[in-house]
Amino acid sequence: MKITKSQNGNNLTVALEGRLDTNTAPELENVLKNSLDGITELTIDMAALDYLSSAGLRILLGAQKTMNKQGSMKVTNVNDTIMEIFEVTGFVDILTVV
Amino acid sequence: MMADGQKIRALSLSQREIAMAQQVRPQSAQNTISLKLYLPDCEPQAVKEAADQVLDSADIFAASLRHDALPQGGRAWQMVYGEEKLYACSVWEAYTAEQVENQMAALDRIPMDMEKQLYHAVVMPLSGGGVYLYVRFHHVIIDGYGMSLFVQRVLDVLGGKAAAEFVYAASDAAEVPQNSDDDGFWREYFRDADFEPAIFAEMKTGTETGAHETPQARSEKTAGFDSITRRIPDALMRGIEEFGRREQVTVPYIVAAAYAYYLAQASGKPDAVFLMPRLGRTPEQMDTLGCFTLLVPVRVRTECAGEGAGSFAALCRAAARAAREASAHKHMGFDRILSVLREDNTISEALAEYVFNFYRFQYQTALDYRVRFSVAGDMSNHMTFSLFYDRDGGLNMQFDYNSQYYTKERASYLADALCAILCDGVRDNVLSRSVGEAEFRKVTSVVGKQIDIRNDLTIPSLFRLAADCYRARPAVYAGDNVLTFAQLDMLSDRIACALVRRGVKSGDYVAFMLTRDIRLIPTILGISKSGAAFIPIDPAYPTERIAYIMENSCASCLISSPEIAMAGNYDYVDIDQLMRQEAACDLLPAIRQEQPAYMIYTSGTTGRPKGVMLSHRGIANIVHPDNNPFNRDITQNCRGIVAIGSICFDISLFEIFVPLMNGLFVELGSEKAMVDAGELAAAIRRHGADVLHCTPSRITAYLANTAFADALGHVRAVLAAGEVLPGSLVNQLNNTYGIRIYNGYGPTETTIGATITEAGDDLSIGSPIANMGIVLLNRDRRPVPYGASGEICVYGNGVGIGYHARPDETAAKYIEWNGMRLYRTGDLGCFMEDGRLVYRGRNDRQVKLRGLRIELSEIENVMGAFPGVAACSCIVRKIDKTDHLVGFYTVSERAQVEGEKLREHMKSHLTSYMVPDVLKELAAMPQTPNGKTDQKALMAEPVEYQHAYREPVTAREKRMCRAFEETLELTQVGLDDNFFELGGDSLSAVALVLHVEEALSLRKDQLEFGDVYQYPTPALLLDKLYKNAESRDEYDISTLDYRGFAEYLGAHTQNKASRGYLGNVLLTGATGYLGAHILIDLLRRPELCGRIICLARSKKTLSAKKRVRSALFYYAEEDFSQEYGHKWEVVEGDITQPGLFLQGDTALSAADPRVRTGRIDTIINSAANVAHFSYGNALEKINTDGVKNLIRYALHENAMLCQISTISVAGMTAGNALQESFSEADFYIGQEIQNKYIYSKYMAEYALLRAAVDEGLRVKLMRVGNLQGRISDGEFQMNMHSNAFTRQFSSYIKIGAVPQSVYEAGVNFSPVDETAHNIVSLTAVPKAAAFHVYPPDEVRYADLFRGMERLGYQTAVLPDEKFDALTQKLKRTEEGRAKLEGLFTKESAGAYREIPRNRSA
Repeated sequence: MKITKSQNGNNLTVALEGRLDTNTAPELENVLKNSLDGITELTIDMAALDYLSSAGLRILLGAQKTMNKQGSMKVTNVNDTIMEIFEVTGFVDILTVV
Repeated sequence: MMADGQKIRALSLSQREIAMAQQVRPQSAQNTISLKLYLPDCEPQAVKEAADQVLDSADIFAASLRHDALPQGGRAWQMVYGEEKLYACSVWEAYTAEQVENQMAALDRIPMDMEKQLYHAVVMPLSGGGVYLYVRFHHVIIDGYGMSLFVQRVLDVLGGKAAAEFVYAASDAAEVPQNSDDDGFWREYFRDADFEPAIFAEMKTGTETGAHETPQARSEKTAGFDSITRRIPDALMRGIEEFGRREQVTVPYIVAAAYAYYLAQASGKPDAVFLMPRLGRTPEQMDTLGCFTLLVPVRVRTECAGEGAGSFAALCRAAARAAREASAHKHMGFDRILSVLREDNTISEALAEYVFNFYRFQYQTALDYRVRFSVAGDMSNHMTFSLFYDRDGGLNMQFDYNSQYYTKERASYLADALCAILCDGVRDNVLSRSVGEAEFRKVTSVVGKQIDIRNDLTIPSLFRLAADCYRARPAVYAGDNVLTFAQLDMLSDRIACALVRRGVKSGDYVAFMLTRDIRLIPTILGISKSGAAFIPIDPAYPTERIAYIMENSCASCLISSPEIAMAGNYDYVDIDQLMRQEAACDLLPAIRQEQPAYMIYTSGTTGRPKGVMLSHRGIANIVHPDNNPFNRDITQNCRGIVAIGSICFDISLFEIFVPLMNGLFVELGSEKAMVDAGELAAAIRRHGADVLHCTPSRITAYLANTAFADALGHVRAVLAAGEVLPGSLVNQLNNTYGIRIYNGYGPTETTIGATITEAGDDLSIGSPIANMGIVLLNRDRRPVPYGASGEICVYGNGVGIGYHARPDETAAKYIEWNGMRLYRTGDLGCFMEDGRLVYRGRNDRQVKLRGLRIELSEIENVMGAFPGVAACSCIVRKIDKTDHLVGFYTVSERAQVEGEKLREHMKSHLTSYMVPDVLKELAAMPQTPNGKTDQKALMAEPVEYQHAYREPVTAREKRMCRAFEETLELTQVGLDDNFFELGGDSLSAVALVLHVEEALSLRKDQLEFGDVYQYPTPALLLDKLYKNAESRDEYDISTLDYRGFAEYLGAHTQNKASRGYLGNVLLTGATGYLGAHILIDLLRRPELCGRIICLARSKKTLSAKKRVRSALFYYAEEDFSQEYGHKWEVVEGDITQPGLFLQGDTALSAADPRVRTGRIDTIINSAANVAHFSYGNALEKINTDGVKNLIRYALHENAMLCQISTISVAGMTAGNALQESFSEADFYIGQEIQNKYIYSKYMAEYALLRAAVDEGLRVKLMRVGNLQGRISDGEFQMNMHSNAFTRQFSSYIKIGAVPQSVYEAGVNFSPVDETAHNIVSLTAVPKAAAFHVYPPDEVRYADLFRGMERLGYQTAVLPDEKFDALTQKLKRTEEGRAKLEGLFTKESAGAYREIPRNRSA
């Protein structure tokens, strides 16, 4: 999976490409852990994300919890496959999917 | 920075109400308030620093709002306090004062997401010097008083004082619990209240087409908000203060009293209701920021009795008392108050659109400043009126308003009116005004064009002028006869002279009773020329009516004709005789304009007709070619009119006199033409008439006739007066025929008409005709504010003489007002901004049904818009002692209207209580002789309320029906009666849910709000509640044919050891939890099978293939794309599809797996609907019928069919766990089936075994248990929330208690990966038929709860009865019900035992 960060002041956008699973989740977790200081607006761009496994969901949940404390988080460009997972898992209610 | 230890606080009641309101409209700014502090002498930086200091001094500015899950379960709003203020004040660049105003207004309008930001502070310097401090707060953290404190602190800091810390004091910690006394108080407080929640209806723009708008479309129309501020003049202020001292009332209550008086007067009601935020601070909270206000409704009775009644002082005291009483019960919370009043039917929708606010704060500072608070960013109400002090102690009135209802002008009129009321009140202690001077001028200025009418013009003199002018022109056609103007003049002269010779004198009354032939119009003119007033009598009138008229009118003679049977009863003069007399013009008297010209009998409300006397003055006015748009049109553009109005109604005089006095001809329609479309069409064509007068309902009905529709092609103008003109008719006539259509309004008493519209206007009933005016008065005969509804009162030339021999009624209806004589119509109207009058219904067309106000014409408009409906009418009628709305309609020629579709249409356009209970198609709409819908005939039309009463029989049915009765306050509700048709609405639906829950001891979630809509009758609701769960009769499995089952199952339980090969596999349900794991297992053990074809459905935009691959990846983290296409494939399909792949026995469909594999050897059916409760046949369709389809396919292919089933088919006995004895060799052992889900799975097994025994199908039954997380890593199903066990277990945790019987029981846990692995392995075992695929050992609940304890979740073990009692208690509250959510898989007793053993999805 490829993770691309772009920061603009307090806004951070993390673009994901490929598959978010048990192997790649720690990588994303790491990136987020080190980048969220002072961030008030986090955007996870899923335009190029093909697949999402349950391990990936956990990382998103963690990020959402962090951002609840310091600002806001949104998930963008979610494809239909992943949207279905968000819907079935009830994550649509937890995440701000735009 | 203060910190008082506590970091998280729950919200107070006031805060919760605001948070809740915000949740309803999350994207609105309605719960924000802003302060605008103007500081002319301060520097921007200094103001910023001061603001920042103050922001640092209160913890609320470090707080954020969370809607968090609570450890004990549920979610609640909490305020989480940080260390420092979250946002500092920013400083913007300098702009002009105007730009700054705009910026602040723009900021006001931005929605504030309360979970993200709760305030925003900006310093806005003005380019000309001075600054604005603009701070916008979410109301949840501050109230008006708090804002005042904030301003004071900023002023303090700027003045050199240090910012004192704000002290935290707990928000209404001592929240008073709700009790029935409070409910009782509010009921009593509003007992018999008579008020209007709003004065102004939404403003019509004039550009709308009149088409029906959905409420949504209305709200989407961009609403604006604005504000004006007015300082109470100093002299008045001194008067108010002086009055207050004298009368012992404080200033705010004096103003509140004026406000109440205005509201009551403006709405014409004795009471006024406004909302008032009341400060809920304790003394120790007086120096705390935060939100402590609670909104209360204040009902002021403006007609207070007792000492000083009618004085302003008494009203002030009443207002003060009303506000204080309300305030004493504020702790109940506004929402609860509303719901109590709604239950009570005191109010239907809104309570009041008016808010009154008083900011008592007076700032202490040496600085110059000006401060404003605003709520106008967004408002859900119409008008918020706030009072606040100026620096010098002056009092400002601020009006924040919603511009859908108010304009700047209206708001300033309100300010004027309040000042006027206060002026009179404090000076003379009287109540007098309701509108200010400027507004008074405006409300009385709605008048028609002023045209000079010579005061000697009368019907005879006007006709002579016309006759001289148009001598040879045809004047009247009737049948085959024609009269020119000269002939008509001569004939009428003869009649007149003959009458005079018979002793008729000027001022006498002469009645005539004639058929509609060529003699009719000469008679009218002849009587007129004789100086007498004519009285038309319809020969079709009932005998008694004719007798009454003859006697009451004291007519000096009756003109009639021998062929009229009724005439024989009277000593009449034969018209033919009169016409044969020689004329001698010198006989005819001079006639004054003021003397009676005619008398028309109208139906009196008492049942006895009233003779309305009208003078020549009104006719002389209304026939003027420039009198109104219709006259202008036809006198300039048209040739002649078809007159079909009954001669007994004054509109016929309009049809006759306007054309004749202006040289147009009158085609007098026959009696038949009045009621027959074809005949009317012929009348139009006969001599080329191009003007038609016709009521909207008649023209609508006639349009269905093709001959009439064709004839309309020749018509250029239509006057469709007398009824509301539907927009659809306007468009139709204009678009199809290019007809200009006019509407008019006016009572007989004001000479035919009072207003006429411009062509095509269907929004209004037009503007006053020439020399007439309209004023709208309330019941105190005071003008209502411009734009508000009031009684339409008409003044000017047309106002008649009065009622014949009825001085009392004349005095009551014809009144002197403001120096004018005016007629009170009894109709309601309001003015549009441009002065056009909008008809708001006659009082009796606005009905109250079950406490709800209903405008019948609104319903008719919707009914009439349905394609195919020709004419329609709606009435309220008693059917079996209960009032019902009944709608009648007729259908256009060649069209059809299905009653149910019409009902659906109406349901989609109207609030449910406005949808008629009965809709009845009529062959023809009954009409009164003048073409209006005959309401009386409709009252007599036989109707049947279709829902015959079906009596509740069982105790449960009785309780359910009683719940309906209590909710709807009806005496008898049958099993099949529809809640909404009986007057239920969304508000009462909530009440119904509560009543039903109570009556049937339900748990929350057994019955939801939405269920009332889906199952609106008692029978349906009972069905929904119990049908799925009720066992014995519903799921009778005892009578099925089990022959051969035992042998089959017994013979096939051997050979477990040997392994086989599955061949090509068709797998269903691969997107589900278990199905995906079976697929994964198959793919990981490729040696076990050939090719795997997954049958799956697509969903929305997702293909079946994508869905299966996504599920694979989710659970296995690989999508097996390497193997895709050769080892496995996905085909799109649905097992419920009839025939499943088989089209005939040979043809292959493209989706058929055999296209890819050649053949299928094994089918594994993991597809299932696992919802335990579901309405309709969804469960049966997938779980049973789907299996039957698979059986057919398997038989055809000679494939083995492996069914994933559930151990629940073993059934339960009441209160006990699974039948211990149920083995793999068993099927029916006398068990009972609990619900529809289990039944559907049982019936699937049954079908499979039947096919096995009867047709040799190879069958495998995999009965699985309670599927849980993977043994390998604990991964649980994606849709965790829908797992019944999880939900049940989490309910116990949330409640913090578990019943002993559960605690001591065990539960089967089947890890999904192991289960899937075993299923695949067992499928490969040849022969054997049924397998119980779950671990032999149960997990003890006790162990599970102990595990949770270690995680910090304590659960008390309660005896079952205590637990039941606890759940009963919890059910009473929203939070409680949320906790119980997982415990409803089965109904009441013994419910906690049932744990679904199967999740085979």
